[in-house]
Amino acid sequence: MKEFSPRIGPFLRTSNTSARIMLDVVIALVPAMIFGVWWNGPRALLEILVACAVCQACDMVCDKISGRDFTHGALVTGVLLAFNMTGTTPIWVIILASVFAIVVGKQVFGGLGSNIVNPALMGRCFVMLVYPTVLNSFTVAGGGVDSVTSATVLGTGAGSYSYLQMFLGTIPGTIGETSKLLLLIGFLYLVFRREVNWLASLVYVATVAGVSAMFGFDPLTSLLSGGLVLGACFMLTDYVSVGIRGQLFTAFFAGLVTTFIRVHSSLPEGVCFGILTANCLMGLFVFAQGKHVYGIKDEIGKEDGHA
Amino acid sequence: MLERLNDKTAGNAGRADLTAAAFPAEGYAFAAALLAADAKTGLFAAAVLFVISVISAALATKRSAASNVLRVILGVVYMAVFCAGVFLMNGYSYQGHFAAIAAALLACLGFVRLAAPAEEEAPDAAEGAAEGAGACPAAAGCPLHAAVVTAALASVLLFLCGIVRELLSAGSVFGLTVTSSAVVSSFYGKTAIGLIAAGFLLAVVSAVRKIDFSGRGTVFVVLPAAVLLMIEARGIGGIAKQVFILIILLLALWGIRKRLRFSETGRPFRGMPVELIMSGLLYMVLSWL
Repeated sequence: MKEFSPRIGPFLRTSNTSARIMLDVVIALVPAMIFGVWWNGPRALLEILVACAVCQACDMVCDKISGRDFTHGALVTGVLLAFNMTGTTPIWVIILASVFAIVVGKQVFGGLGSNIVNPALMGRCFVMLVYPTVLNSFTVAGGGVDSVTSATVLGTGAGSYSYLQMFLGTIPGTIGETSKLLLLIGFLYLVFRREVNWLASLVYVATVAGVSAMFGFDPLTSLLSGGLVLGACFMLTDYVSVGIRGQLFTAFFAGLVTTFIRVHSSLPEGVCFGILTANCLMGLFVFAQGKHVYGIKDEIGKEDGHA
Repeated sequence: MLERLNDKTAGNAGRADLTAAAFPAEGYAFAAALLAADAKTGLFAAAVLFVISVISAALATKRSAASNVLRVILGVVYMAVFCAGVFLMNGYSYQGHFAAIAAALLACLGFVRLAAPAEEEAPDAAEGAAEGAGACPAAAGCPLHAAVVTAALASVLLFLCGIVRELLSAGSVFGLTVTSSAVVSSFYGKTAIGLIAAGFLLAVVSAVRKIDFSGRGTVFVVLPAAVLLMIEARGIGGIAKQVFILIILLLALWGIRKRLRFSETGRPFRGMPVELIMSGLLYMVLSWL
């Protein structure tokens, strides 16, 4: 008797696969990565490589155990996680953060596309809470200077650095967040490839700028300092967000939280917690808009036969 | 032959369901989140919960054999031992006296069950208390040895969890300094990591014993834990802010539970384990509040 093996859709596929999207994101991150390595020294490259290797290895093992198809999505997580670390972060911290990001932040929920929060940001959140002093010192090696440890723009306040310095990235910060110019070039590439919702990023930065101005802060300094551009271009646009309306609402909410933390909290930066909080509340946004999901009955209880 | 195989498979699945019902998952999760922050309290919690599990399973198995008086006495005794033990260990415990209130809360959850019996035979106080710890009335008929093996496995894991967390949070085991490595951080002893550890603990139990924890009462663990920790962290002042944070936490958890329906969560993590892990992540994310 001939064996019958049922197959599950989708049966029609385009060239726009998750592997291609991930490759595009990595390409978009390369300019900022090169600058980050030049500005923070060769150790930054080691951090990026370690984060990528550990993330990829954890992803591969978890996919193997749970019988899922292996993807290269963890490479992006690795690069973004390293971008959120300083040039002086101990390698063992990078390893722990990578394991936490992939295993707890992503694979537990079902892997690629099923994660609730951005795994790279969850890794940064882990480091901020468990080893808070690690992200406090920034070593700058570029421009002919061997090593200078300095506070960030957010730490020293406006006026310490010019707008041009902040835009070009010749300021202290984490490996990937300093050069806004190169991050924006990478983001434009993603927009050109139609991989991201640029409107969500715009809503996020506009909210931060607007609310900062309301609190009496210089909006341009708010935009060019910290990890706002990195978060807006590469973290907020993660596919944990559902639907365009949901993404816009998430961006607005994340902007509010980010500004609130920058203004009122003792935390050094609000982008990480702002986006993660919005990720966590995404479920509420989606169900509040009451959009019907194909294949799911209007009332969940009915499907289970409780109603 | 195929029918016999199907019967056997169905029988095994049914037995696993009964074992899951007899297993006080909420109690274990609560103990992992709040108590097992060090080896000593981990051992204590593991021992108490093992006893509770076995008594619950025995009561469920011989439901008609034990007299109501005996059940009430047993229920009162084990809850009293639990509370008194935690009080006595206050000096060593991370959350000492609050854990005693937590135990009382668990018992209350069970006693609430007494007011609204859904079964034909109204549950008595002992069953109510067992339910408070997480055992379900559906456990009737669960083989005692299966419940004991599951409880033993969970208790050993709970104890190991306490050892690892003390090692990571204080660099010691049973109070004896082992390491002063930079890896050591007090955050590993906090409830956020406790909830994540509880989720992984239940996932391992689920994977090894092939039982499903879907539909179990995560909120019964998260809500009292959140309330107790807020009282501990901030005192009784700022009630409005605490209530606000609590509402945000529960709303976020509710939304995430809805979203998890669309996630391809692995079988061992499905239900309570993944919800506990998410609660831990929520604690971490909302720490800015």
